[in-house]
Amino acid sequence: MNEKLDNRIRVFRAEHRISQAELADAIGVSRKTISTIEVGRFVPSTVIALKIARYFEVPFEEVFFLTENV
Amino acid sequence: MNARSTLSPAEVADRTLQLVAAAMFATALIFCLSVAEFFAGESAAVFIDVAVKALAVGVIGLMAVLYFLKFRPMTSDQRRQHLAEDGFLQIAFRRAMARSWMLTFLALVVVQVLDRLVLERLPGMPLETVIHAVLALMLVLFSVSFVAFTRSGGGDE
Repeated sequence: MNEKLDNRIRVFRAEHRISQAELADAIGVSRKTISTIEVGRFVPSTVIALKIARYFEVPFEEVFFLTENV
Repeated sequence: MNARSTLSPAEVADRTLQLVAAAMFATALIFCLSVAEFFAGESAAVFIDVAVKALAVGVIGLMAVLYFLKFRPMTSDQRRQHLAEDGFLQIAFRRAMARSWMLTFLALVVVQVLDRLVLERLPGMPLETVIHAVLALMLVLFSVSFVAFTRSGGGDE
């Protein structure tokens, strides 16, 4: 089974009304890192993924989840 | 407001990596020209020699600017953190390094296996030129891989 890591970062950002640059600054990564994670091009490290979930104050699996790659 | 003063440490780390990658590409050009100098005629070799020296001064200047403006003001802990970051560009940089090493190794193995077909047809090259050719190959492979891994990022805002 071929699975990929998907995420709801864009949704959470919209709810919190913050830009990619603001989220990047808040968790200490570059904006490029956030933008590539958002579109699923870059799989973040566990530390970055946990920092993102902690920033939005939600459990990790509400932000990141596995989907089947068709 | 000055744009440079608003850059976060992570953005500085990204730009530093991009500058290092650009310097590595310029170094690859220097080695390529150095190898070309061996095969070129006398008049072209003089021109290539000047180009190599100009590029070398450019690369050394770029690295000096990078060192004095970005790295020297940092503490050793900050420098270590910059190199150890696991952002998109840092991972792409490491992947490009690994790929260039692997492909250079494979190329050398293939050339060695085909020595009668390839190496014997080349004029006797000094060891320095051979080393420059290998370094040029590795650095070009690194540069191409880095560009391939980092081109057309995500949905930027």
